[in-house]
Amino acid sequence: MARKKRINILDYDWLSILLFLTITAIGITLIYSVDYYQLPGRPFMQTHYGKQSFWLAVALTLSFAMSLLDKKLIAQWASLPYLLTLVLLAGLFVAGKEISGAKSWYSLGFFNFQPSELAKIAVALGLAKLISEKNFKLNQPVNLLKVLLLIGLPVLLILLQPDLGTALIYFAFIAVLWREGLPTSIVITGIGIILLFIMALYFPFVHIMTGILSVALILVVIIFWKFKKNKIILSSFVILLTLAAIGWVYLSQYTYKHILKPHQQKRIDLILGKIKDDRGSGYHLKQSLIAISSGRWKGEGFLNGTQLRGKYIPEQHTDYIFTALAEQFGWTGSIFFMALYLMLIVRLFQLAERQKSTFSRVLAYSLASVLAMHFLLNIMMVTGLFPTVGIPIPFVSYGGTSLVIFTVFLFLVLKFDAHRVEEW
Amino acid sequence: MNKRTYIIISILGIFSLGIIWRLSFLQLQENRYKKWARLNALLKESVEPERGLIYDRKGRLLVSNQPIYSVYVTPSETKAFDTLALADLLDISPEELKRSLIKAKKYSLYKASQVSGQYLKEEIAPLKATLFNYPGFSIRKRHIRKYFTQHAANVLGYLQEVSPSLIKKDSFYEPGDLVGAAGIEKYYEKILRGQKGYRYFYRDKLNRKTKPYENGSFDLAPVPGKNLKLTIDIELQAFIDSLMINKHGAVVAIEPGTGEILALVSAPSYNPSLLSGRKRNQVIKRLLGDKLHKPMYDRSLLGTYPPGSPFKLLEALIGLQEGVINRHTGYKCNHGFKYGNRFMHCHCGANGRIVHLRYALPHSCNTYFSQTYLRILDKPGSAQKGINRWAGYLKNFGLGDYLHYDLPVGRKGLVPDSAYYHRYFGHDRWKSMNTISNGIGQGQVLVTPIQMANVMAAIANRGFYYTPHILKSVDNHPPEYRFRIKHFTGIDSVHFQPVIQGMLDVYRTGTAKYSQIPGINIGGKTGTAENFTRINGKRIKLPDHSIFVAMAPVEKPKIVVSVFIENGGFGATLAAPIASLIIEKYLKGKITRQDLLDKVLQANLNKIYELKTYGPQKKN
Repeated sequence: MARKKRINILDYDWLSILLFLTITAIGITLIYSVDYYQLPGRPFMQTHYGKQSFWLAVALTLSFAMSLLDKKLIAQWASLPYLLTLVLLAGLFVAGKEISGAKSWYSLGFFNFQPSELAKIAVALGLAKLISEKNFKLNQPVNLLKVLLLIGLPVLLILLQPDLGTALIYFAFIAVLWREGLPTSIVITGIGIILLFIMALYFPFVHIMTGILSVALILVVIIFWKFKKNKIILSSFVILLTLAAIGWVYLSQYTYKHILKPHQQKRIDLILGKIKDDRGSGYHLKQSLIAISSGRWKGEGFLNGTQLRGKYIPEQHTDYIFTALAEQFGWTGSIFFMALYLMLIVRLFQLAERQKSTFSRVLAYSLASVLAMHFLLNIMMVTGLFPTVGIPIPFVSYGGTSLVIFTVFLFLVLKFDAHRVEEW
Repeated sequence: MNKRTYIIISILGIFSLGIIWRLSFLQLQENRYKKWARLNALLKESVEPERGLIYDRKGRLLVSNQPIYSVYVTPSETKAFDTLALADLLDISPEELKRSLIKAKKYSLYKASQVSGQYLKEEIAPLKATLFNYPGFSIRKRHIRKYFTQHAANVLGYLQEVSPSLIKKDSFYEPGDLVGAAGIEKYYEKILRGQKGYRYFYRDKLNRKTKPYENGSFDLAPVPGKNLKLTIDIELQAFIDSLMINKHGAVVAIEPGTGEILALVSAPSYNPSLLSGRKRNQVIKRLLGDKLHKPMYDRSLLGTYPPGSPFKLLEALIGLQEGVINRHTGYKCNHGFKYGNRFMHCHCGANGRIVHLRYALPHSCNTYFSQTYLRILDKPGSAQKGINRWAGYLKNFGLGDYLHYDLPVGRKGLVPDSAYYHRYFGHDRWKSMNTISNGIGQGQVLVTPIQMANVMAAIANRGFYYTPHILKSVDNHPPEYRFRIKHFTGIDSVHFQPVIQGMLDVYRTGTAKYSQIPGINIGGKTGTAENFTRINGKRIKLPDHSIFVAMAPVEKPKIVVSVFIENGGFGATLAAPIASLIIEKYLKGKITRQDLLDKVLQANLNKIYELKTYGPQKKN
């Protein structure tokens, strides 16, 4: 039995911590630059950057406190945060405060608390506990169902708030599941279903059917050409799939046309970009693109920039914080920031892979995937590559709940990493 | 590292490269967004959208737009100038000019603000020639309303310059914009005003507007306001205006099957064109200062009067519904009746006979209805409970509260209940008899003419009404759904039959005998409401207000009217003939009783109104 080694702060991955601090500092600086014009002359604790700094202090304190706990204890009680999250999410429908059309917050006097943020770490912990059970194999249908339920339940509650953006983040867990053994075929099928659904809303039925039939035809030809055995079985399988695909497309279009109400249809059209909304939410995006463009090579300079100055972008301290970066620090600044963030994400994947226990690996992998999802979706949205959904960048966008949750999450992962040589 | 992890990191990398490529396109290449970025440094000029037109129910154009010209100043571009000369040129006072300049500077040094406005094309021509001597001043084409009718001013409303507080509240408005301040123009302002467009221009070193940016390809076109079709029949409205000459009062005509308001007349009124144009402010001052005529006071919506005898229709309905009376209920009426140690007078002509509903209604028997009222109040056991039940019925007919039609002004009227009388008499110090005047429509109840018309609509429909409304359609779309909801009165439709029969009898044998129209069955009810005034400290009784409510044809009414003539005397004298002429005009299209028409047109009540307003004048 290995002796219990005294773990101290030096065993924590200093690279991750350094990247985390740098990124968070950049975030606070950016929020400050937005506040400079949008909220001039306020006392520190009433500014966004002031509050963010406060929450950072809270986050670090909580992380320190948590790091004193025994890792086995945490692993034992891992289901508790998950159950608590479910209760909190459900409770929103009764006691939640509505902001921007979605009941996603609890108003607790001084600050607002968003349970869907807590859900990210809770689901990760719950998933880690579930998958690390003895003899848990992901290719068994029962287990698959359990996992689906575990992740799906919070996602459903979040979708009902409604908060499409946050719900999208949970797709990141597909990566975790795939890494832990979920068969590739299931992943491909799942992605295929979703892709088909989106295409169904975008393209006319005839076009899609033609496309599917062509693909099916090519597959059958390949089967008959390249395969020596099982030609009939494989071909029938392809035909079955084709029928299923066409049926699914038809169902999707039918739902859209006959079951959805007009304002819901309009919402979807807006998200898909089928109708442009130059006066409404399309306005944010347009202003964001303008601001990013005006950044050019080196940026307008800190606290400079016509868009920043002109306060043209509402929500700039949250969803559009990257825009503030791009306008002030240009292409070079944007690339530099992206490099830092990607380094953190890749480092977390590395840490995940060097874990000896499934529990800590799943935990770290979840964090890396969720961060990656946030990172990609937010920047793609802000640059017009993805429909406008409200997703912040962790550690950078203003948001007390998010900052605290992700910091604690990060230090949790680092703690398990520091203790990885120990026996359980 | 696990193989799958490599793949995931690669996917991450691919997406990141895609983002970098996109950023390169946005930031390093010349693109549309760079051009958009420059927009914020350009001069942005708003383009006025065309305000929606207003039509009557038959598609006749009532209100459209006409171009006028306004003088604008951009403070940063002005140089020293002769204030007196410019003020003279603009036909405003030097103080006004100075004030406008100060306001303009406060709003923005670089944007144009209005200095003086609404010149017609003829007036602006000489200005155009000489204004170039005053750098910083320019002329802009705007629009004001053009009216194709002299009637319905109370319905159409007028426009006014937007106030600073409204500019703060709603970012749509800029100084100098015109916004609906009354009537339909105000209620449907958001629909009529459309959406502004924008044009972008380069600025030169002195911040002056130069050429259009990118040939206007970044400009946004304005969206014109939507056109409104009103329920008003302007021909009917004009006809009623002519009948009401030299009289003060109100007439409301509604189509009961839809709740559409066919005519909404307040007399005297004013020509709506007067409030469109440069002299607007002076005209408004004059109209508001006219204490004798009060032309801007909409009596049809705001005038509160005791309902008088038409109220007895409601008493009858409530009495029948509550079961305290039926066809065979009779009361002895001997020029009135004694109650307590007081006496209620009655002129129904019964002279000691027993009166039933069939007689009581057309002859307006006070005895019958005040006794019925007492029974209604005492039925639940206490007057307090009874009056609240009674008040409940009245509220179901739309009395005692806003009717929630689509015009911006109104009055609730008054429907007294137990709380009211507790305050009025003292807590629990009253019984049903103390409020007996309510029974004959002469108590504390107060109604507005539109409320009475609405009551008639409910009776015409035998039990429900639609909220009265002025908007028929917007761009061929029907108005809000709430106007198509039936509001039930809680009176079973079977009880309407005897009441309507009574209303028919009013015309056949009763108080409105002389206003019959050959060939049309009208049902109605005459009424008077007492009116007092104080002259030299003394309370003087003036001629009663003349009231009449009617519906026709009785079998399936197409129109209901309520007519209130201030100080017109008995209902039968003026109000009934007026109602009858209106109905004939609407249903038949022409008038066949010229003598009746002449009589109405010649009726002149101005002397009474002058007495009311100014007190007795010295005769010389």
